[in-house]
Amino acid sequence: MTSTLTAPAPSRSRSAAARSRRRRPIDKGKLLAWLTIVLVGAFALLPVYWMLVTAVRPAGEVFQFPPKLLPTSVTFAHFQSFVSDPKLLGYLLNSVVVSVATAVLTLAVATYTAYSFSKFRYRGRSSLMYLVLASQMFPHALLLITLYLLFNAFGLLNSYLGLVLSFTAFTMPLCIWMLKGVFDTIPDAMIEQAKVDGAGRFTIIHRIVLPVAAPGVVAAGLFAFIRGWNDFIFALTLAGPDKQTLPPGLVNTYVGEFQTAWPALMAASLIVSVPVIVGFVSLQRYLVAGLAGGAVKG
Amino acid sequence: MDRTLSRRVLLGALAAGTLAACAPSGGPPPSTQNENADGLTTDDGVKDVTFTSWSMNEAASKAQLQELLDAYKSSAGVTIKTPSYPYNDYLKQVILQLQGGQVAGAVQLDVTWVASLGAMGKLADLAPLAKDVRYTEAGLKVGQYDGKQVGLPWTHGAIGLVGNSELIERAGITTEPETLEDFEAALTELKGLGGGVVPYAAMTKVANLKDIVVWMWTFGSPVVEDGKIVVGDEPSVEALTWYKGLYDKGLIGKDMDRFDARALFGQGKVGLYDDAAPARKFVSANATDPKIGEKLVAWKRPVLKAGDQPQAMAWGHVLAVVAGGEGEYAAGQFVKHLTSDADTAITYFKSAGYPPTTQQALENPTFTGDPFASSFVEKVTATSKSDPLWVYPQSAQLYETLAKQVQAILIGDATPKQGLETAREAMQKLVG
Repeated sequence: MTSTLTAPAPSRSRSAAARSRRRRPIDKGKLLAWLTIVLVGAFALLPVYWMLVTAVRPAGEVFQFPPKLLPTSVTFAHFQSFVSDPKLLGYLLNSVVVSVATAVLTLAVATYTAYSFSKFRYRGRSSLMYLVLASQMFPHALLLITLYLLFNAFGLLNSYLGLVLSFTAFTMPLCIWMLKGVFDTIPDAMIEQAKVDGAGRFTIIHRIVLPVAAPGVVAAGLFAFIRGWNDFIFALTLAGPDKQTLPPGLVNTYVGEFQTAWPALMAASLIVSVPVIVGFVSLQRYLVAGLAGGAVKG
Repeated sequence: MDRTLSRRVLLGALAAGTLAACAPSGGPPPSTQNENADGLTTDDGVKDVTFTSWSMNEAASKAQLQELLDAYKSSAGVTIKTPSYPYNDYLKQVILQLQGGQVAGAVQLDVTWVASLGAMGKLADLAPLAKDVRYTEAGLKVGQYDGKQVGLPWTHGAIGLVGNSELIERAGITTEPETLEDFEAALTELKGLGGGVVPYAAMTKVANLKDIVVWMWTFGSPVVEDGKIVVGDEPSVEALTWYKGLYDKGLIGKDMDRFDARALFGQGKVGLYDDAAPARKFVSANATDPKIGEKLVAWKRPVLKAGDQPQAMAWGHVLAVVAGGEGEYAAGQFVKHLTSDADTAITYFKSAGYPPTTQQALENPTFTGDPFASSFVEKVTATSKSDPLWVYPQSAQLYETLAKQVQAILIGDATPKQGLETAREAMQKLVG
């Protein structure tokens, strides 16, 4: 009996809820927000999309007028031509070598400098900090000439070392300031406590501070890596033909006096952006934590 | 090896792309060219040649050039290194490397850079190598700076009007226009074809607006006279008024550079545009119409009054040799071979479309039997001349200054008179 009386109730209730859901008025604010996000997203991704479709289009279709959003035929020949060109693979290797070395060298120096700026009080500290920042204000062309003069005198032109040193010179100041912001967020009490427990300076930096500051360090390292990976003019001028990295290498290969091989250039650009995307994705949680933890507070 | 480097020179070179900073005001600086030609004529036994270029990386020429170099390597018993830089950054890089003593041997140069590099005084005078070769007079001239033969002509031609014969025929144009009036009428016919056809894809982007100099010549402006910039004189103002008129009537393309013009031409959407002699190769590369190369025709540039001489801007590449140091002789022989050996020149012309520079090669049946190439020589190259702005090491800045004002005129931000006067003042300041 009871069951016959009570059984239909949930069914009525569910259908009422469904009707209620159907009738719920549309939240216009939310809809507008979503529309905006979709539009901005599409706008931001359009160049990437265009790059992709250009890379897979046959050369003759690239300049079709009016342009078409979708390629009528797809080819992977441009990707193939990149991976089968030993010269381009050489540029890729050079890029990996100098970008990794730049990131490592920048972090090695910037970490200790930033720690010093953040946790020690000494005469001239403030001036030194601003001097480091001021070096960012020199035009790159001027810095390049100075480096060219120095490297020419010391025989460092056309070498990995010269390139790494030059990249490090312009990534260092910003990395120092990024890392100083990170170290500032670490309470001095933690360091004092470690001292009370008998830890030496080396132990404090490497066992206590750096693990806590790891997200910030990763963020700074990624910044240095990308800066080295993307640089064009320093690499073109200081590296010489043998040690050239990808940006000048790609321009040299695909951009000519009379024409630019757009599909091949786009395919190559997609390939070379993969390491950066992989780096970002795999280190994303560190990056977000690093930025949120003061890496950009300066 | 000279390792001294002027910071001022390098800053100028990098920031502006010219040697402005090292040039004295008022025109070309006095030559400090190496007078000693011994290195070019006496074999020092060095068998290594360094050939700095941009063509060794260009899709249009790379493979063909490599074959020619390989052939020379085996015949002359030398090794050839080929460092290269992208065309757009080439001048800055070569200036830097030359000043830093990092470059030696043979160097490819655009004819527009001869003065900038010649002014540095680090290029050898190649006159001893040129004396027994029948280079064309005009070709030799584009390689000269301050009375010295700093470069041997490798390819020489002009930038002239090239058209799509199919569109021209469809538009009902049966005779090549002689005057500007006829020309404008022909453009109107081409516009009448509809379908998005650009009648004349003239340059309207800053990057190539230096082409306007040829139209200024057409109206009678010398552009430079007695060492003074005369842009803004009556003929140049008339030229800009006419050019702006074409722009406003939709007879010339908006926001166009040579890359765009070639691409659109390859799609059969351009009636006429300005290009160098090897245009056929450039437009065919990415064309949807596989026969576009066969439809190419060369036109004489129209003149103000019937009977005037059609104007065209010289175009070409020269090969120079860095003076002094080991291997100068080998580099000189290499440069001479590449520029003067008829078989090499004809092979290069056949495969890459670059016109040769010696009488012997120009008289070769392969060249004379090519209707487009030979008519281009007759209608365009024959009356071409060098731009007087090239003699200034600051030519890149001069062009940029002029182009910005011309663009302002085209989009209506300045009148032709105002714009060109502003350009003249700024240009004159640059040359002192």
